[in-house]
This record gives sequence, C-alpha cells and structure tokens, in this order.
Amino acid sequence: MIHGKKDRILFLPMALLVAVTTLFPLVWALIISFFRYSAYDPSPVFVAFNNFLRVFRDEGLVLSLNLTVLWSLMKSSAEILISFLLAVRLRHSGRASQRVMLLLGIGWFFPAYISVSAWRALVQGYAGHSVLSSIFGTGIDITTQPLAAFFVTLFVAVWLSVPLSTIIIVGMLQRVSSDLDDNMRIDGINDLNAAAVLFGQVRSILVPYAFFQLARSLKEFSVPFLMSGSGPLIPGGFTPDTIVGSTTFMSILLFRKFSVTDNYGILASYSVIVGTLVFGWLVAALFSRLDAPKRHVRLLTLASVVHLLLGVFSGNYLAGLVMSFLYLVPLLLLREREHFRPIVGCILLADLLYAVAAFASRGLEGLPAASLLAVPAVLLSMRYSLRIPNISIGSLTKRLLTFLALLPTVVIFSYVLLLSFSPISDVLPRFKGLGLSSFRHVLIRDSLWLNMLNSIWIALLAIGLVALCVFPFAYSHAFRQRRITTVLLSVALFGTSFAGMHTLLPLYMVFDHIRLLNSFIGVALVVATQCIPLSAISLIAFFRGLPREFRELFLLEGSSETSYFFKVALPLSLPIIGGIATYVFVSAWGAFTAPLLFIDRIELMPYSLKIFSYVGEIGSYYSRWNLFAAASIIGIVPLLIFYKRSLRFIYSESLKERGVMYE
Amino acid sequence: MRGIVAAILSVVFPAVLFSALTVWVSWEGEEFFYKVAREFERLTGIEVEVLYVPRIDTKLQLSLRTGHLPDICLVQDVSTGIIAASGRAVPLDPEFLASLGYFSEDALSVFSSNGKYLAVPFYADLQVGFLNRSLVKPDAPSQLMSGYTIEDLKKLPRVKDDKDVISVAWDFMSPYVFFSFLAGYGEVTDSRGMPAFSSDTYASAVSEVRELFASGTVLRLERQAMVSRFLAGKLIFMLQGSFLAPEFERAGIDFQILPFPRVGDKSIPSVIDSKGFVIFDEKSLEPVRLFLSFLFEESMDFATSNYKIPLWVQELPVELVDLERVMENVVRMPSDMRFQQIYGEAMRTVLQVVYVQAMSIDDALKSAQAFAESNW
Repeated sequence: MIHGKKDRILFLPMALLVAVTTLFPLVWALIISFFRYSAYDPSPVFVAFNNFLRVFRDEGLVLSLNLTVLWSLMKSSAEILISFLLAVRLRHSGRASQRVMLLLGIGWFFPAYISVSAWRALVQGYAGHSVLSSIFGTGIDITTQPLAAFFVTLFVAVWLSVPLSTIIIVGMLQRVSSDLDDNMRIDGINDLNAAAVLFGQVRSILVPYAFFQLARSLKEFSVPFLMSGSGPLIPGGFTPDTIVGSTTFMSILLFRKFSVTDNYGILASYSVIVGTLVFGWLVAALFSRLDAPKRHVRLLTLASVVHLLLGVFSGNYLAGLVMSFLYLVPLLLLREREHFRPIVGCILLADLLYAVAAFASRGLEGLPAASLLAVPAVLLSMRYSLRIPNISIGSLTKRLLTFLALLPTVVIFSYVLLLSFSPISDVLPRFKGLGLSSFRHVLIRDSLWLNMLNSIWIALLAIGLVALCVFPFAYSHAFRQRRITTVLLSVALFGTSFAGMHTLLPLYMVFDHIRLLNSFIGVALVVATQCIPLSAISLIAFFRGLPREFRELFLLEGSSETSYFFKVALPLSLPIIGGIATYVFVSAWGAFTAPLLFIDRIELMPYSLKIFSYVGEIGSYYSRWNLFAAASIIGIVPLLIFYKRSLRFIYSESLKERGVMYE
Repeated sequence: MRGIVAAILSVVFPAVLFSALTVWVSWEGEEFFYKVAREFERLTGIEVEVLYVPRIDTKLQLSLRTGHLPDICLVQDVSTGIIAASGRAVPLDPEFLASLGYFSEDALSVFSSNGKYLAVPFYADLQVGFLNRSLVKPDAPSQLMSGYTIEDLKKLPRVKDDKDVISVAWDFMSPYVFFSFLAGYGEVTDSRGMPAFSSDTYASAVSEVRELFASGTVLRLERQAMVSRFLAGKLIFMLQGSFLAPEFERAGIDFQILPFPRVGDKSIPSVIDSKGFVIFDEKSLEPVRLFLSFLFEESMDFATSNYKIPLWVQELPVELVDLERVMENVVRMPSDMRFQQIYGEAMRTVLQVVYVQAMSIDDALKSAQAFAESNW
C-alpha cells in the first residue's frame, strides 16, 4: 500500500496539470451549456435548459450516435485484432521486426490530409480512374454511395490506427517471459493457440487499451472529415435539426453544429452527451483492469446505466428499462459462480439478439447503441474460454500476410514521394520532369526546418510533461486509489472526452492570465493533457501487473516508495513508455488547433501550421500538392529518428528476465 | 517617388513612436506580404509583423471574443457579420478610404454594417469558366460571344477527335458553384435573409440544371478530378475559381477565362468573393494607413499575376480583360456566415440526393427548408 504524505509528490504534478488545463475550461463549458453565446451575442444570455431540450429533440443526433457507435466498434475491433496479430509476429526483437515496425510507422507519420488524399486517389480516383477501378472494375463513389463512404472511411481509419496499436501491444508483449515460447513449443502449441495464450498473458492491459481505443474512436474526426465530409445522406438523415450522412459521426456533427450556429452554449450541451458516452467507455477501460468480482459489478452496472440512459435518449424507453434491469439481475448471484456465468452469458445473447432484431426492423434508427457498448464490455470482463483450433500458419503465409499489412504503407509512401518530385501541383503524381525543386522551395525558401525545430521543442516538452505528471500519478493510482486520485483521473478523462472549441475559449483565458500564450510550453500543456487518457490507462494497467514481490522486497529493505518508482517500476515499464513517448511525440508533431489559436508570432510557428499554408483555405485556394508532399516527406524524418530510438525501449531487454512470473 | 515618401515618413513619423504593426493574412500571397512588409520597414523604419494563418476564420472567431487581435487582418466578406457583432473593428470614414484608393460602393457594401464601413476592400476572386484552348480549333473561342450556352460549348470544333476528352464538366453537388445558377433563376433569400429553399427559384434551378447532367450534356466531376483532367488536357471547359489560373499558367496550359454560360434563357452570374483589411486598433490608424497605402502601390503585379480583381482602383489593368468581362455579371453571397453555413450544408445534401435520385426535388427542398428554419 502507498501511504504517507511523502508520496503526494507522485500525484501533485498531475493535479497541477489538470487544474491549469482542464478544471476551469470544463466548469466554464458546463455552465455555458445553459446559455446562448454565439458570435452575435456580446455576452452570454441565460436560456436555462433550452439548449438541452434542443439536443433531446434532435432526431439526427440519435442517428449519428448509433452510426458512430457502430463504426467505432467495427473500427476498434479490426484495429486491435490486426495489431495484435502483427504484434505477435513482431514481438521478438530482430532486424527484420524493427524494419517492419519502422515501415509501419511511416504510414502513421504522414499528415492525415495527404494520406487521406492518397487513399481517395486509390479508392475513388481522380479524373475517373482509380487503382481499385482499374484492377477490380469497381465503381466506388464515396460522394454518392453511403455504404461505400462508411466502409472506405472505416478501412482508412483502421489502417492509420494499426501502427500505434501495434507498437503499444509489442510493448505489452515484452513482459511475457521467453520461457513461455519454449514451453509452448514443447507442448506442441501452434500459431493460433499460441496467439490465444499470449492474449491471456496481456489481456489485463490489452482489454483496457481496447476500450480506450473504442472511446477514442467515438471522437474520431480527421479521417472521416477529410475522406468524405459528412458523407452521402442516409435514409431518414435529412432531419430539421441535423443532416446525417453515412459518416456524420458525433465529432463531425459537433463541428457542423458549431459552424452553423457559432454558439458555444449549443456546442457545450451537445458535447455533454458525446462526452458522457466517451467518458463512460474510458471508465469501462479502468474497470476492466480490476479483479473479479469488483470488475463484474462495475461493468454490469455500467452496462445497465448505459442501457437506461441511451434507451431514454433514443425514445426506446421499454427496451432500455428491460435491458437495464436484466444487467442488474446477475449482481444478485455473484456468489453462485456456477449460475452467475451462464446467466450473464444468456443476458449477453439476449442483448445481441435484441440489437440484431432492432436493426433488422428499423435500420440505423432502431440500432441500440447501448447494446453495442454493453455486450463487448461485459463479454471481455467475463473472460469466457473459447476453444481455438490448434492450427499452424505456414511461414510463407505469415510473410505474405505481413507483406499485405505493409503494402498500403509502401503505396502511400510512393505516392507522396512522386508528388513531392512533381514539377506541377496536381493531386495525381506525374512521372515526367521529376526534380527536387519542391524540396528546395520548402527547405530553403520557406525555411521549413525552423518550424520543424519549433515542433521538436513542443514535442520534447510534451513528453517531459507527461513523464513528470502522468507516470508517477499512474503508479500512485495503480497501488492505492485514493479519493483524490480517482477524482483527478475522472476530471482528466471527462475533460478530454468533453473537450472541443467550447473548452478552448476558457483555456485561452486561463493561458492569457498566466502568460502562457505565444509559448511552446502552452501548446505542450494542451498536447500533454490530450495524451493523458492513453498514458494513464495503459500505465495504470501496466503498473498493476508488475510483480508485487519486487515492491515488497524493496520496501522491506528500507527504501521509499518514490525510490522504488524511479529505480524499479519505471525501468520495467520502458517498453510501454517507449510506445507512449512515440504517441506523444506524434501527437505534438501533428497538433494543429492549439498552435493555431494560441500562437500569434511567426517565429514560434510549428511545422503542422506551416505545412498547411500549402493546403490553404478549402474552397478558395488550390492546394500546392507538390510542396505539401515535399514538406510531408521532410517532416517524417525527425519522427522516424525518434521512433527508431523508441523501438529500443519498446524492445528493451530489461524486461526479459528469466523466471519472472506475471499474473 | 518611393524614396521621397520614405524620407518624409521617417521625419514626420519616427519609428520609435510605434511598436510593430501586426498583420494577419491568409489565402494566396504569403511571400508577397512578407516582401512588402520588409520593404516597408526598410523605407519607413516601422516594423511590420506579418503572420500567415492557414485557417483564419477559426482563429478570428476566437480572437474576436478574447480581444487578442492584430492591428490589421485580411478577412473574407462573409465575416462582416460577426466582425460587426463583436464591436471590435474600427469604423472607417470616407476620407480614410479615399486616401487609400478608389473603392466602388459595391465593393464597400459587403464590408459594411449599419451604415459603417468596417474593412478596406483589397481584392476579389471570381467563379469563372476555364476553356482549354489547345483542345479546340483556334477560331473556336471567338464563337463564344456573350450569352453563349452550354450547347455552344459542346459544338466547339475540336483539334482531335479524342473520346477521352470531356467537353464540359463541373461538380453538380457543389453548393458554391450552384449559387450562381440560383441567382440566375431568381431570389436566393427570403425577407429574413434566409435561403428560400421552398421557392420556385430553387425548384426550377435544381430541376433544369440536374437535367443537363442527366442528359449527358455536362459531366459531373469533383474539383480535384476536374483540375487534374484540365491539367492533363482531357477537359475542354469547366467552372471553378479564378484562383486556379496561376496554377494553369505554371503548368503551361493555354487557357481562356469566360463568364458562366447561359442555361436556356437564363443569364447566370458569377459569384464574386471579396477580401479586405479590417483594422482593430484605432491608435495604429495612421501607420496602418501608411502601410496599406504602400501595399496597394505594390499590389498591382500581385493582383494581375494571381488573377485577382484589385478593388482599390477604378479601372482594371489590361491583363485582366477576361475577368473584366466576367465582372459584367456577378453576384455576391450574403455576407452572413449563418447563410453560408446553412445554405452550404443543406444545398449540398439537396444536390446529392437529387443527383442520385434518392429523394424527389420537392421533398429534398422541403427538408432543406425545415433545416434552415430550425437552425437560423
């Protein structure tokens, strides 16, 4: 147990970070949800619950919510599955694995604007032809076909998410002892079963991470927005309050709401709904790391609450009440293990059947979003055993599958490279007149390297802030959940779930007051705050999984908790830390809105803003594709260098200690 | 001349009296603005900090509320409403404007609110027709006299009979291009300034323009596809923004700028979209006036090479003769951001569902009207 005043030092930095960047903006935005505050109002006008009434009568929001949950579940499931299988393949440190990891990272490092445009060229094509249509004779048009827009956006989002998840899972798999491989070989366990065994070894950190990714997907914006905007209209989507296309996910809906009304009050009230749902799934991520029966109690209760709230919200009162009640029934049978697990299984099956029937009869409007969230949460909590066939996959097949996983990255990289050598600005690469003029333009004429230096500063500061604030906090919370650390974590998680333009205005006021505007540290603080959920959830789960004996022995010898944290816990966490550091670096490198709003001085402009001068204002400017591509190629160099260094931590030998038994 | 002005300025207005002038810009001309700022500094000693902002409307929205604003900001005409509502812009008197150049009442009106001028007009972009002259016979463009139709375009004699070359294309689903057609058919807004989706204007325009695509007269292509085809010499005529012209010049395309074609007996105006400088600091008015005066002096080459209509002069330079022809029939979008957003979102949806025949024109426009009423 952690106790005593000295260990307050472990969570105080996090408290300070949350106090500065989250608390006031959160409270301000919650209050403003009861006001009208548009561009035409000199000061906020109290409207009581009018904004919320508007939210509750918005049929489009229900459609968007159902669409978002369906898409997010599909996206995060595919992402975790593919990433896990790739991670199993790449978990052993070797030159080949590291090369594959590097190549995987490249696809992630390109700005979404250019990689999404590349995907559009591949799938839909410009000028009437696309790679897909040429090879397969497809006639995909994501501007007119709702299903095409939905699935293409899903595919691209999964592809862009796989690198980060693979890195994180490779880091998780480093805690598995190499003795296990020998034992599995001796027992004749083949590939699929081996993957299942490895899953069992890391499930306590992988499942929370999967929930985190699901929560994050609920707020996905860049990929769907750049790929297809709101998407073609879906049946019933032309509602008076909101127009819902096949990719009008909740984040895009919020963006459109703000664009149309410029009303912070409306945006804040919509964000309460969206934020609550995202927060609920971040909480599920934390609950999933607990031991049974606490885990079961909390997740069943969460499932019940979600069914009740979303049932009421979507107008399915009876179904919501019934399902909510059903999920509470097993709580009466917690001690009767032989009945408890089958009954929960039956409830899950009933919920699934209900979801299928509702979707079949009423389409997207009838889809119960609560079921799509409750079923995976409770299923993963129950840890039912599944019989996996003991199949071996041939080495050639494995190589082919790995190659297929990397092929899109190779294609996208080649596309961007060709664009960067092109003498003219066209979204389709040319093969004639190639040269280096674009590189000269961006590096020398535009001095892009200065902006890159600014971004490097911001990234290093953000990593430092995460290390200083989140790492010790996660350690402290992993071993003792004080009320203060639980509140702190809840505020941080809800703050990031709820964040948007409506929280940027009050944050701006805070930064102005404490003179953090026009500074790298200001932007780094925003980036660090946005990285709290992934960092905290992954690290809390990881620290909980460390052998208790290490800590007990260390403390028995008279050393302090803080000393154990720095000398033992942190070094053992290097693989996860490597993944988190890469995530923070990439987030800082691509940060756009915070520097756009908080920096007014040209010498402080980061790389992310500078390269968007080549994109321009959509609709009244033509993107300079060759310059943007050249800038993108140059921009991935620091990311690759940092990533390569991080791989050393991810594959850190310090964890491969023989004879160490993990949970 | 410049040297004399500089000498007078440096004596009358010593640089030490002023901190740096801050200027926010966007769209084209980033290097040009930096160059002008450096030259102005050199001549007058007045420091100018130019900041190029990629999403200036987003930044401006926040800055208008917080009050952290530059001395001057380049804005779009549709931002006039929110700028006026903020109360932060310095109203400009006619003498101030007259000292900078000649501004027509039409150019000033889009930057006005309640009788006050809130910005100094700088340049305008137009939606125009681009004709690829290398794909048609040399005498073909002369056949497109004023009042030409799409059928006239289809009949243009080609240099080669290439089935891969498209005659006419634009994006039917673009609400911005479609606005021109609406304006050609009648009133676009109702008495409240809201889009009048349920009016006959909208129904007729959607129906008749849709027919052009359904009959195969015009091909629907997205913007990037149009530009790529035009650059590759596979598209004879398209409708797009005049800001694309410098790209075509760089690519060596032999092109001509034309007004919008007629549709039946309807004359279709081009949308004109203006940019102007808003002044936020009253105390900097004099150095701002000096800077803008210098900027306008230096900007004619910038305007002509970027195919922009200079709004501070009475007569357009001869290099922009094609754009002058387009200027004979123009229309402006209402300078209300609400109109832009509501119209843009709803109209795009109407055009999309009508194009794929997912909804009837009547039903689509009724739904759009309900959307507008709910969100206005």
